Amino acid sequence: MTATATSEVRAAGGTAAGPRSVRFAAAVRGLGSMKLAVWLVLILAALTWLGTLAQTNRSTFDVQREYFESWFVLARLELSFWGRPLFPGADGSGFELVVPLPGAYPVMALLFVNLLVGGLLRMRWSLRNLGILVTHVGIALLLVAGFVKLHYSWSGSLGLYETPRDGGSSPNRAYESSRFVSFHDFELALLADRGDTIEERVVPERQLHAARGDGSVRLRPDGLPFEVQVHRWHDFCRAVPKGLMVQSTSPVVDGAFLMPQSWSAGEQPRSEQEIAGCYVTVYGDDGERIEGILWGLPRLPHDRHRYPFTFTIRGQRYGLDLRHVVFDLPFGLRLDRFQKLDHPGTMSPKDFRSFVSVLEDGQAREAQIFMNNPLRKDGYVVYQTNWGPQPMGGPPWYSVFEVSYNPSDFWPTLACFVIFFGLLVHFVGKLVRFLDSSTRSSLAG
Amino acid sequence: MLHPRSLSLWFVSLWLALLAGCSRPAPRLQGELVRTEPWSVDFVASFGALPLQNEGRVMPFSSLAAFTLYAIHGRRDVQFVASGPGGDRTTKLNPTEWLLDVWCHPDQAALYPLFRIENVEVLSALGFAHGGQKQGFEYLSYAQLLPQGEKLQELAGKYQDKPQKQRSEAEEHIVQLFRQLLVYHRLHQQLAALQAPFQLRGDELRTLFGGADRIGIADVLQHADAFRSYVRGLGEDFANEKHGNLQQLLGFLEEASQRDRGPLLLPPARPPGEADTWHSIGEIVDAALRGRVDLQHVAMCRQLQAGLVAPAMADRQRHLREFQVAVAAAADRRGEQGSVALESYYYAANWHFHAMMTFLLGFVVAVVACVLPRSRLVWWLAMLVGGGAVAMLTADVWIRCLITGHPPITRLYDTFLFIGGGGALTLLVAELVLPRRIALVLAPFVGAVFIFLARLFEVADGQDTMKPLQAVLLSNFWLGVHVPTMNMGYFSGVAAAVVAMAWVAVRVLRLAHPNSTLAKALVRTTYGITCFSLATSVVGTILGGVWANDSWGRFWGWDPKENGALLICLSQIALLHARMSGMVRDAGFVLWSVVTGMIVVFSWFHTNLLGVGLHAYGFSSALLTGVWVSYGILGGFFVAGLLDVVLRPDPAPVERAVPDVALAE
Repeated sequence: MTATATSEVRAAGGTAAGPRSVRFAAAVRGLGSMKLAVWLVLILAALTWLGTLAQTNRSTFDVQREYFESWFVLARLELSFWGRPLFPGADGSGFELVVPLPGAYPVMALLFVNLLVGGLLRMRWSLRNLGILVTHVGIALLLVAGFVKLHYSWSGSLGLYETPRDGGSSPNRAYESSRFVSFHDFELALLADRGDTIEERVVPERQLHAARGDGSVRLRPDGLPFEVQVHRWHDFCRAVPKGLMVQSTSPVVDGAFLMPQSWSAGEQPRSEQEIAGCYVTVYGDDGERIEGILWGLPRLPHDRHRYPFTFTIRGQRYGLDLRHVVFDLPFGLRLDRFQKLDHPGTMSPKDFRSFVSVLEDGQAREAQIFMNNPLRKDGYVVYQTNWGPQPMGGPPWYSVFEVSYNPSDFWPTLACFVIFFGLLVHFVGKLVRFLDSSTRSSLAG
Repeated sequence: MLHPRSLSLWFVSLWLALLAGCSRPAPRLQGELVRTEPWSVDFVASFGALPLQNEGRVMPFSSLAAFTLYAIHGRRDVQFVASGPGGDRTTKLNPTEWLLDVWCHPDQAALYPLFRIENVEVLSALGFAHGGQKQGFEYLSYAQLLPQGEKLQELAGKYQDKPQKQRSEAEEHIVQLFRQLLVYHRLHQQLAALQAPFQLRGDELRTLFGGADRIGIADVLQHADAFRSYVRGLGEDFANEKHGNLQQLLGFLEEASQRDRGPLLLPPARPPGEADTWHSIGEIVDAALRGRVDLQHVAMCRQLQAGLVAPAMADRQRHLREFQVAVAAAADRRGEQGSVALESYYYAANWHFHAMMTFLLGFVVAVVACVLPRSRLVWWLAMLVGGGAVAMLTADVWIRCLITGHPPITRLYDTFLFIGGGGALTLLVAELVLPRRIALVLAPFVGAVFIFLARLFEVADGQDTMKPLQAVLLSNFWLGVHVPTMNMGYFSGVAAAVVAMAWVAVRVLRLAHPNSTLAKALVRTTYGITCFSLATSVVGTILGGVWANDSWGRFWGWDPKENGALLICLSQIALLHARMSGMVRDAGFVLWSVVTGMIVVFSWFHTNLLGVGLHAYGFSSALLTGVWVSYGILGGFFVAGLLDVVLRPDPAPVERAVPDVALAE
């Protein structure tokens, strides 16, 4: 393929006269140009490289948000040579170079437009270009799948204990559930005790971020006789009892306070282990003022029972619960049995699998979930991800599943076939033409 | 013009420089040899095939010996100088002979200079005198190290609490040294109870054991039922002196049942599925004292004990051979002997080593083919030898697949062989497509270098290269589809970079004009291989995502290994589009290919050493050094090429110039 062949405008477009259409045609040409594609791919490569190195000091989740799901990033590159830091500072880490770059999100969006315009619409649709066109369709599908995954999917975890075969169940253990909880995101649930039922109103975590540091957020739930002021929000903290020897930097409420946490140097940060917390002040309509502390510790393996911060106003009981975001499943899942097999003579697992019952419409259907064999149902996918108690195991065993909902679940597989076919056709065609070409005979020695 | 002949000389020089190893005199043994007669060659070969279970799999004795020695000693043999009646003599033991000594002559083996200390601070920390040399290494024996065991344990415990990345080189060395000492200590102690007979006192006890004065573990197992009834009959009275030294005997047996923590030596009597874990001798002693005696195990223990204590070498080897035959027969009944026999054959046949030597021969023939450019016969001979070496390497990888029951690549070690073989094959095919003899020379060079690196890695890593896989990887479908495809991307990326480096060498050394057909052919070859690499990298990367979606619940997680694979794809996509759009021409294309080679190294190896993510398998400073050496070599070619292009952009034209346009299609 030559440079001129690919930059030719298809006969259907670009023929209208006038300065406006000329400008439009120039803009289309620029958007679809191969040089733009090269630069976009190079920026994406730079982001990928810097985002990879950034993970040595920060959690993959944080880096993913900052580099790959953002509009703009100040990428940091710690200079090192032969594995040793260059120009080390006081803490021993190398000099940090700050590189401003657009985030991967706009880069990929622009790349998608570039691909549509230059790689599909403006490219000559000929048999010779068939492979390339098909490949570009596959890449476009992959980018769309990524977009859908980012915006229209959610995931979380679900932990269940083995159902006791002798019937001796414990009220504190979840054996079946149709809810799962987010790994990272918190929500503040405002609960009202209505006798037989609990009424819930939820406030997503991002609305509470303004309460970090000295800020505060006031919440006035509709129909409830109180106002909540959230302050001193911490993304990662620990609730600590105030003992005689314990220094507290935050206010002490009911004998406890929130101690901010951070990952120590050299420790690999794991954002799913970062527990948020905050202080709350409830102003009742009756003039009462109630102070409280909320801390979002999940109870493992699953939140069968939670113990919210409760208070009473005008004789009615209310509660506040800071928890990981809860999602509902359209079916229930019960863990009948868990099995872990080790490689002989070791503690290293060869196989761990859950024998579950899928509960729907009063029916129970048996299924097995194990590594590389998730359960797919109603758009949800349930994966085997963890087990416990670790390290010695059960009984009683519990099993932890990751549950994800992703409308584009199958699209990458499809894209893989499309791209494979496209590249095969294109490159085999090129090779066959080259073998028969005069260039080859002129270059062969 | 110098042409390929001079180029060949450069390759020869480079190869010789690579092979120039540093020789070092063997260390002196601190003590006297007890075993003066060597193990017979036949016995070592046959006993090496003794099946045992270690780290989750049944393997031959020789494999256990080899990987333990690599981990502790950092070499494939143990060498030392010992003084004898005829003066000083250098002894060289292979891994099987070494482990036989550890089991059968533990006191002698304890004197071998074994533990490799590479950091002088470690010697200081443990209180050993040294010459103050900062680099280089020394060997300490078990006998020297053991008295410092407590100190070592204390230091290792302290440093283990630090995150690995924060440990200094010496601290990490101490942590590793303590682990090595533990491994050795277990092997040293493992059969001690079988070697030290127990002296009986008291007629009752002697009668119980058939009138013997001294008994071993095998005797106890043989008379276990009677002994058990006797002890139970005594009740609380067992400590009474009138029963001889029964109390000491019970203590001896308790220790014997607990001390054995090494590899498992006795196959279970029950069939696989019902019982997959083999038994240690200690476990058998414990079971026997609880009333569960298996006669097959008793017989095996008797043979092993007889082998360990026989004074004459011939008797010793005979009994040990009987033990090996008995265990192999039991393993065979369980269907486990097949893979052990195959593994013994695999390491004895050493196909990849032969492939390396054949590659070297192929390299020499290819150089001759460059010197005699008109001879088609030599060209075909070089192709044949190179192809033969690839076939040998394929056989090696195939046998590994048969042993493990998995597709070709399951561990990092396998990637060396796969990339070496695949890279060589790619270059041979490139030579067939566009014969200029450069790829013919590069193919065996790449093959030999990667096998050499595989052998270095095998010893430096010191881990069983066929270790059972963790649960997530146990999917032969995905292991067979994603991993080889991705590695095809790696090896073709390497092959393209190597041809690009040849272009740089040709230009910088003035071997040919940049517009000559030779230089153009190199560009064209780089281009062709890059296309192949892009196709396999893209498909391999997406397949990896599809697998991740099935195992971890997400297609893409921006994990370092995934990012590394993506980087190769992005670099090659940008490269091909830049070439098509005229942003780069020959020089830019080739130099970019060298950079892509660095990205391949980053993706293939460096990402594993970052210690992050789901694909992180380990961290080692030696491996990191290897990575930086690779960057250094590739970077050196890049800089040299770039400087040459910038400083001498327009070399004088030559007669047989081929215009750029010819390469556009």
